[in-house]
This record gives sequence, structure tokens and C-alpha cells, in this order.
Amino acid sequence: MKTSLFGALALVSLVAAYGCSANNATPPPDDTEDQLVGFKGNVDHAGIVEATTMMLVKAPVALNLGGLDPFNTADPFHIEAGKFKDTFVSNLAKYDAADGVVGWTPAQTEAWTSRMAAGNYLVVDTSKPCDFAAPHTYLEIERAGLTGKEHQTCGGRMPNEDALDVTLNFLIRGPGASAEDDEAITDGVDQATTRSHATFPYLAEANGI
Amino acid sequence: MKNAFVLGLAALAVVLGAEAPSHASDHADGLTTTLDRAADLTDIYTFTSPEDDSKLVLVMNVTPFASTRSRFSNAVDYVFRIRPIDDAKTLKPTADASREQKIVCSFAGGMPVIEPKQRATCAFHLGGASSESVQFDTRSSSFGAGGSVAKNGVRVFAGVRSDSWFLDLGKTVKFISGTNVAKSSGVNGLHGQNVLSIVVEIDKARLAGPLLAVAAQTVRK
Repeated sequence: MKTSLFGALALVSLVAAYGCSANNATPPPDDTEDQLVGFKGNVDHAGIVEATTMMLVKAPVALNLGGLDPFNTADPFHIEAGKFKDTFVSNLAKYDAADGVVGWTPAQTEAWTSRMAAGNYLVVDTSKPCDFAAPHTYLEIERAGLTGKEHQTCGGRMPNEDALDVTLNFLIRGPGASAEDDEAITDGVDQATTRSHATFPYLAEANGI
Repeated sequence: MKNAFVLGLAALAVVLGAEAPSHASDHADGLTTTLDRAADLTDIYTFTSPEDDSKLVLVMNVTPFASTRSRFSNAVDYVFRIRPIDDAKTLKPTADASREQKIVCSFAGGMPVIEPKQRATCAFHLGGASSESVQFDTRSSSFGAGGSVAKNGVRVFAGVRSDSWFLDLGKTVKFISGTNVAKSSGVNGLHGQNVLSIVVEIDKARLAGPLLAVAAQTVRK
């Protein structure tokens, strides 16, 4: 039994590896909800974009998918920081070195990695402006805090903002870097299949309707 | 034995039918979530409503590669968790769990492949001993594949929407390996894909803000 279980898990990990290099993914069969009958408790949490898939993963991700489960099943407001801090630190050092320029001070590194190791959440200020039509608020509150400034926007996250570009510039160029300037790093994709719209429920209608 | 068999089937299903794209926001970001797509959170958003600036919008997306007939799991609680941040310098949410506000959505009914319509219940635990809830169907004529309710200043939607996440998967893998990638146009690896979305709109005045920490969580019951 153990052999078949581990075989299945290894197979899934390998498939995930192939998915990493693909530019277009093919949907798996629908409705897996009953396949994990018997499992109870926390499954996943979401807050910061790429918290696991970039900031916590140990390459190659496909061989370490199971290593992300302890983070995913933790309480997003009360993660046992000691379990994950070292990985956040080593990964941030890797990203910071990617462009050959030091973008993170030791104090900023300590503040950010401590925060990520202890909790995964968005920060939103409901008293500050959000511009849905021109969204540039993701991580603005956190970046302001790390660079000693007052935040100016609502922070949070809006669906049309290019949060991957924000993340890439944040990790590689540092918390003071913008995702909008001439040196900005980008993956070259700047919108979803269909842009979200300004009327409830905001996200675009499903594809294939 | 049964669990191993079930996991094996799930693995086989993934192998035969898919390339599971890790490195995508929060899509398939672990072994359990790769198998348990109904509880796999892909993204969370929170922002002031562009329709009414007195309201805050909360969005969670789950189930990458959803079809137009996908359903939420009846065995999962889909939870928005909100904690006040008292110190704008540290940006740490309160450690006092009694000050946490929650919105918990659960689902009943429907049937895989055959009947996508479910009955949704979203309970608002916003402080004090009392809570309120709204109920609605996840399919209605107002949407291609979704349903909504508006009651007492709250609006909630649940259903299938276009996946709002976008990235070039190949380039992202290179970034993750520590390689800086030159600027060029990219290909959205999630083009044409769908997710299941829960969208909640609520008066800001009912929240413990203005500075808030917001997370989404899935919990198997």
C-alpha cells in the first residue's frame, strides 16, 4: 500500500514539473472534491501572491510539492515561523542576486522574511484610495513600510493589476523598486484572458459559456 | 487501502489529463492542493468597490481549470478571515483571535457533472455573539454560470468566472531558478481557463478597520 501511495505522489510531482515548462495548460478532469474523502482540516490559504510558489519553494518544485503542505495547512495568522524562515531568507537572497544589484538591506530582509514566515495575508487600508481602472496598489503598503514611507493607497489587491510583475520587481530589485519604471522586470504578460470589470461581481464571465 | 487507491486515482487523473501548472500565483502550490482542486485557493483580492466606495470587496478563487459546470465542494468551508492591524508601522494583525471577523461560505446540493447548481450559505461573523447569513443558488439567469444575492447591504456571488491570474509560465520558471530574463512579449499560460469564485461586498463600516489583514482559507469539514 505504501508503495502505491508514494508512487502516486511521485507521479503527481513529476507531472507538475512538466507543467512548469508549458506555456499552455490542459485542464484535468472535473470535480475532484470527493477524492480526498476522509481528510479533514485546513487545506490551503491565500494572501501574498507567490508566497509558496516563488518565495517558499525549494527548486525543483516538482520534487518538493509535499514540502509546501505544512505551510498551506497552517493558520495564516499564526504560522510557526521557525519552520519556514530560513527558506524565505535563502530564496530572497537568490532573487536579490539575480540582477547583480543588492536591492534588499539586511533590516528589510529580516522584516519581510519574518513577516512571511509568520503569516500570509493581504494588507488593505479602507480609508485610502483604490483606483480600479488603473490598479497600482498591490504591496504598496508593505513596500512603504519597508522603505520608511507613509503608504498612499488602499494596498490590498485588485484583479487587473500585474501582481507577478510587482512581485518580480519586489523580490529581485528590492522593496524600493517600481514595477512601472524603465528598468522594471516583466514576464511580458500584462492582462488576463479577459479584464475584470467595474461592476459586480467584477471578475469576467467564464470562458466557454 | 482505500485512501491509497483514491490518491492513486487522483494522480492518474492528473497524469492522463493535465499538466498541473505550479508556479502560478497560488495554483496547485502543494501536493494536497494539487490533488484537492476543490479546496485549492488560486488567488485572493480585496479592494474598495468601484461601484460604491463605502464598501469593501473580497474575492477568493479556487479550483484551477474549472469547467462551466464545476461545483464548489460540499465538504469544504471557504473562509474569508479579517483581523485589524492596530500599528501601521509594524503592519502586524492583532494576535487577539476574539477580534477576528469571518465570512464562511459553504455549499449543499448539486451533483458532479450532472447538476452544477448548489445552494450556497455565507455566514457573516463580524463581532459579538450574533451572526447573520445569506443563502442563494449558484446558478441563475443573471450569469452564465453563477448566482448571487443582495441583502442588508451585503452582496455575494458564487460561481464560475474567467481565471483572473496571468503569467508566462516558462519565464516564471526561469525567474524562480534565479535567472533574470530579458524583456520580451509573453504568453499567458492560463489563457482561456476558469476558476470558481466567491465575491463578497460589505460595508466598510461593519469591519474593524480601516487597516486590515485579509486572508482566504479552505477547510475540509
